[in-house]
Amino acid sequence: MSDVRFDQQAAAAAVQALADTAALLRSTTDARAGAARQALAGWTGPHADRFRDQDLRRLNAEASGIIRQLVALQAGIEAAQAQASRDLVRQNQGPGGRLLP
Amino acid sequence: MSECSAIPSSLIGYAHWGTSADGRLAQQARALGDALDAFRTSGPDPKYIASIPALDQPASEYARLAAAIDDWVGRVGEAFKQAGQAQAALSARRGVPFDPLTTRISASAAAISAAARTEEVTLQADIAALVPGARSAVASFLTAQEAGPDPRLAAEVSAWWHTLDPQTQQQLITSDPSVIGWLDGLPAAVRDLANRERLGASIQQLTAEKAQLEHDVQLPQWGYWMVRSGSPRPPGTVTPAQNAAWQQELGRVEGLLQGLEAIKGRLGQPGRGQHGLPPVYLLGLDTNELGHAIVAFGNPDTARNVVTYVPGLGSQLSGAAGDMTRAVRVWSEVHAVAPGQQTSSIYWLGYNAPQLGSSLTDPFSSQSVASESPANQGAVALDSFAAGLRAAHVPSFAAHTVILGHSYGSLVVGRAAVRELGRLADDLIFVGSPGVGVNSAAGLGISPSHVWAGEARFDPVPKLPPFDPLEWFGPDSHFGTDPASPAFGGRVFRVDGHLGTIHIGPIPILPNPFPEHSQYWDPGSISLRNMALIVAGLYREVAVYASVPDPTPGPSPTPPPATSPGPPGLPDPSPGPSPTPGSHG
Repeated sequence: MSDVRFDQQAAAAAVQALADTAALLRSTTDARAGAARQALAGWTGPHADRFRDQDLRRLNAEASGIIRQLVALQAGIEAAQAQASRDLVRQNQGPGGRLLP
Repeated sequence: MSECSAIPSSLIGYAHWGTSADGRLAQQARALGDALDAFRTSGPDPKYIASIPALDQPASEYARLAAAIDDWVGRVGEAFKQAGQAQAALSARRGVPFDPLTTRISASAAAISAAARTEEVTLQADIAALVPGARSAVASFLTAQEAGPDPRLAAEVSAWWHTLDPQTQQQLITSDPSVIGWLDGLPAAVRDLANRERLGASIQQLTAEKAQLEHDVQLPQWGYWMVRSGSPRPPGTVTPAQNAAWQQELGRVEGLLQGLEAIKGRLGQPGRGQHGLPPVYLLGLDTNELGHAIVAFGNPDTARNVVTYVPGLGSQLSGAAGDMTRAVRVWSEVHAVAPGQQTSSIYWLGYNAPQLGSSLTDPFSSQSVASESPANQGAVALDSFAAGLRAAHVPSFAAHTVILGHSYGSLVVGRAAVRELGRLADDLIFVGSPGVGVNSAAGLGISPSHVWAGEARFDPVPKLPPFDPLEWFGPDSHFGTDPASPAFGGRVFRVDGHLGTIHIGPIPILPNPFPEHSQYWDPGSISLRNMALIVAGLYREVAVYASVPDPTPGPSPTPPPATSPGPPGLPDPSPGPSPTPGSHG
């Protein structure tokens, strides 16, 4: 039995979910910008100002922040995956390793 | 374009798109949460995950935030949609399209009610926060206006009004029409909306009062003989004094109603003219004392020429029909002599004119025609009104402004002109004037060549003597030098005049000069044409008396034509008179 306690399958699923979420958030943010431009084309006044200057800015800023975190988390898990793989290889190639010829 | 002047059609579409996108995002956030939970619960060695950053901004929270905003946008869109439907229904009911401002305000009203129905929290919060402050501001502005105009006040009011969002503006029109309706510097269309609301309410209220008074005056009176006999007053009877008070009040109420109905008949649809006349704007209205009203034929905010007619002795709301007819005749004549020029002709009863009565010639009575008190009070209001016209006018060009004072009204105009020299108007016209409070045209603050006077030969009012008997044989009238005399130094234009006749029964006894005081607006008269030419700025065509010395040259006026007839005070006879629109002066 391996001493490396790391579930590569669960990690891979998490990485995939993080990548999917970041991609969806990027595409949603881009699409939102287009839809908002269209909405604001016929809409002016204090509420339009609020929507453009506060709501959209906040949504964009928060989306950017979340995407950064998702990417960082994904990178962290991928690094953990790699480290766990290396440890597993090292363990198997070392004395008593099952993969030694 | 304001928020409510057009109905954005894409907000609901945006909200639908957003709801769908937010749903997908929320679903993905849940999948991510499940995957991360599965990874966490798989028990990885801490040494592998120690350096993994924490996710402190879950995507699910972002999805909830986005959904809330998208929902808000959708509600705003729904409010606009309902506003559009309400506007269309209102237009269909009235059968006319609105001018842009009216449309905007109506749409705002509908948006507010729609927002209220959908419990749109932000709109309500905005209004709740803004309206009390705005109400306080308008009340302060009106107090300052009535206290005596700060020359900059109307411009400040105008600038302030345009900082308000449409919802707040509409709230103020609805909640404070008596303030908005009189506030100088606000757009004519806004004042019109507020005063139309007051008009309907006032007619309703006065009609009820009239019915009550008509009932009360029929109550049996407790006769004087019973008072003398010391008999106790029978139940259900009233004293003669009480009855007399009711009779007097009934007369006042009937007069006010007569004036209000006359105004109502002139108004027509908002922003739409009738009978070949321009749209009518109700710029002021109240039923205090004998009533006050300001009615504009043509939008003064967009007109090239704006003439304000100030009536005189005996003017009150009950006589609004006749005074409005005078304003209409000026408008029609200007339209005839200068058809391409957009003109607004305003009837301005913004002061308590002296009334015919026992105190008429008592100089110690504040309501006497011999007193300058009503004129001084009226001058403050007229000065403020004129400043409001300038402030509310479209900024692309300045209107040519004229103020026309008749009889005692000319004293009001003169008093207003000297409050801040050179600011009241571009041209001043005095007809049937008992004096304007100064002894020379130059004292009115504008070039004397822009000071005009007309006087019928036998009009008795300009011949009212000065207070001081030593001045009875000089050029002075009751309130200073007669503006139609050469000594005054202004321009005197030709006027027709036609004596009436005093009858005893069917027998004519004596010529009656008094009708001449009210003939300046007679259709087809040279006086009406001359006033219209001045309003249109066609100075060269005005028929003036050649014997009047050409006053200090000004930039706009032109010399009198060579064909100008006779000397001042001797108008040429001309064809017969027509009915006079008003009998007072």
